[in-house]
Amino acid sequence: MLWFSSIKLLALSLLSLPTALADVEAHFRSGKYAHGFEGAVPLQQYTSEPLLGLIPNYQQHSTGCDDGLFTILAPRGSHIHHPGPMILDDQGHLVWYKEYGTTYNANIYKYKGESYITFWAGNDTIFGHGSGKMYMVCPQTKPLNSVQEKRS
Amino acid sequence: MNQSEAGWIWDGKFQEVDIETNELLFEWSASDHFSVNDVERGPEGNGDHPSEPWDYVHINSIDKDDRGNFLVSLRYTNCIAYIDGTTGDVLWRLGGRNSSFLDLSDGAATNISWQHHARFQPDYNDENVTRAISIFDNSSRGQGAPQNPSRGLLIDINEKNMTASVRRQYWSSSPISSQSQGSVQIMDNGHVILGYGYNPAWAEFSFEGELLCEAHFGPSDGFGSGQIESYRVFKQPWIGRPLTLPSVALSGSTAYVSWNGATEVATWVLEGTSYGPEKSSNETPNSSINEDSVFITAVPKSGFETKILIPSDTPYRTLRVAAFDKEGEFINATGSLEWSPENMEGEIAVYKNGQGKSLHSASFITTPAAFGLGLITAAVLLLCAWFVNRVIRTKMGENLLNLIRGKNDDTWQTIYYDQELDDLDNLVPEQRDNEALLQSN
Repeated sequence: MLWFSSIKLLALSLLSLPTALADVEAHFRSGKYAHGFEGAVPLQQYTSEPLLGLIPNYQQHSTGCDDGLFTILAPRGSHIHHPGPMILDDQGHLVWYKEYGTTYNANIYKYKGESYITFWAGNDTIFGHGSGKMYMVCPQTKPLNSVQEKRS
Repeated sequence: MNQSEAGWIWDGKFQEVDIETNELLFEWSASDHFSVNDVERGPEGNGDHPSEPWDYVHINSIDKDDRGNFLVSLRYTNCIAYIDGTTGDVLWRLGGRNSSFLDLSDGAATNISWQHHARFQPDYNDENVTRAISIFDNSSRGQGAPQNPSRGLLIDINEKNMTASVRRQYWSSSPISSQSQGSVQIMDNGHVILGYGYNPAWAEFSFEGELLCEAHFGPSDGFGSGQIESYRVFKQPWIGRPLTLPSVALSGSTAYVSWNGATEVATWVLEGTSYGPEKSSNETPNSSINEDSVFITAVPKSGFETKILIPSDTPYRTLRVAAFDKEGEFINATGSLEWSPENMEGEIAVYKNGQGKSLHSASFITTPAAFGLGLITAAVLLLCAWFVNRVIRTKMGENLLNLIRGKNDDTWQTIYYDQELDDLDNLVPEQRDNEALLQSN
């Protein structure tokens, strides 16, 4: 029936109208999100950068966490197709992300007075539990060092 | 288990490497110190062939203390071991079989299982405690063993009289059972960050164990699936001052600006520049005082990408976006960006790293187009009503209505829905002209 498809098209166009904020803000105790109705992988896109950011669903969010510090993690898994280290602010907004492939143990360490983003990246399915490199990255410069395990 | 046959194992090793010289400083193999009798998880069919070794201990964390010794977590033994940094000897074990500690907490300090991320924590100047250890106690390895809720665990140990007790446990708001991975971090301010590894979640607690924040980055219905994971999660101070330029996307009415890695931006300022894009390659974008750029509007930075509505009466056809910190100091700016709103219907110009240009179609329909769709829908509905009316007036339609009303017999007859639809289908050839009329809208 033609008018059915017209209404569907109109509804779809309304859903995709530009919204007031550029970032999708984090949810709070969203049941829809918890049951997967916001998607099995709640990620957000941006217009100015071809990156993907998380959309957290906070179960608890007190001001005790609003400390201006940064959460660093490395999303991966069967449904994450562009894994890499990621940094979020204390409201869950993306701050930095770069795709490095399967990434483990992303953290920030100080080395000789400079802060570096450190992580392991590689293939975690081979040679037992994987083969890869440890990275120390300072986003202002090229990667400082990549260290491979010694064969002894 | 007690196995006396030979077989193949994945050995658990760790290495200490000097990252400047790549020199190997220390190496340790579990097979020198742990037998299969130490292990809780059996081979489960592995180990008979070199292509399928038995991952018998599965080392998953390493820490080094001020004494030069190591704390290693061996997941499938359900214990953590303290290793002499010179000889490699096992100085003590906590948990699993052959635990060296007397548990003063009725077992809760040492009944860890499938654990991750064992770390020494600073002393608390308590004469009864030599030091503390934090562990992410998974309490689950998935199917094949009891799957209990995971906890963050802070244990006090006394290495003089070899006792261990629970100082704190950290629990999520509702139980999360993570069969692998996970982390516990004690921050400088005493807050504790738990990463839930296999499950997309992290939590922040006060040192005393009060839950302050808990974030899920995947649906909790999907917990236990491994679809979204993060091996560990940490919270740290950081300052990001990228050498790249901000990235901007321009539509006919809006500028979208982001700057991957920047932490110091408080305000985005949109400016019009009077010179054209030919000069942008010679321009040094680092100058804050740019006599040719004129302030248009400013917005506070919001999230990763901030939206700037460009006033529709803006006369400039080249723009630039400048970043300012919270003191109002200039940080950096993009180059000059071409902007021609008259020619940009449904298009977005993306200037990645503040220069160059790529064009994309807008992924959303603009308001005028949506309004137009609404008008078309109304027109279509009217046409449908007219069409149905027309059909009823045909001979076929009349017969149909007669069937429904049962006029011929003065009694009601049952009409099956399918039959009615089949009759309507037979009308299709007559309607073709009407369909063409609708589509031409």
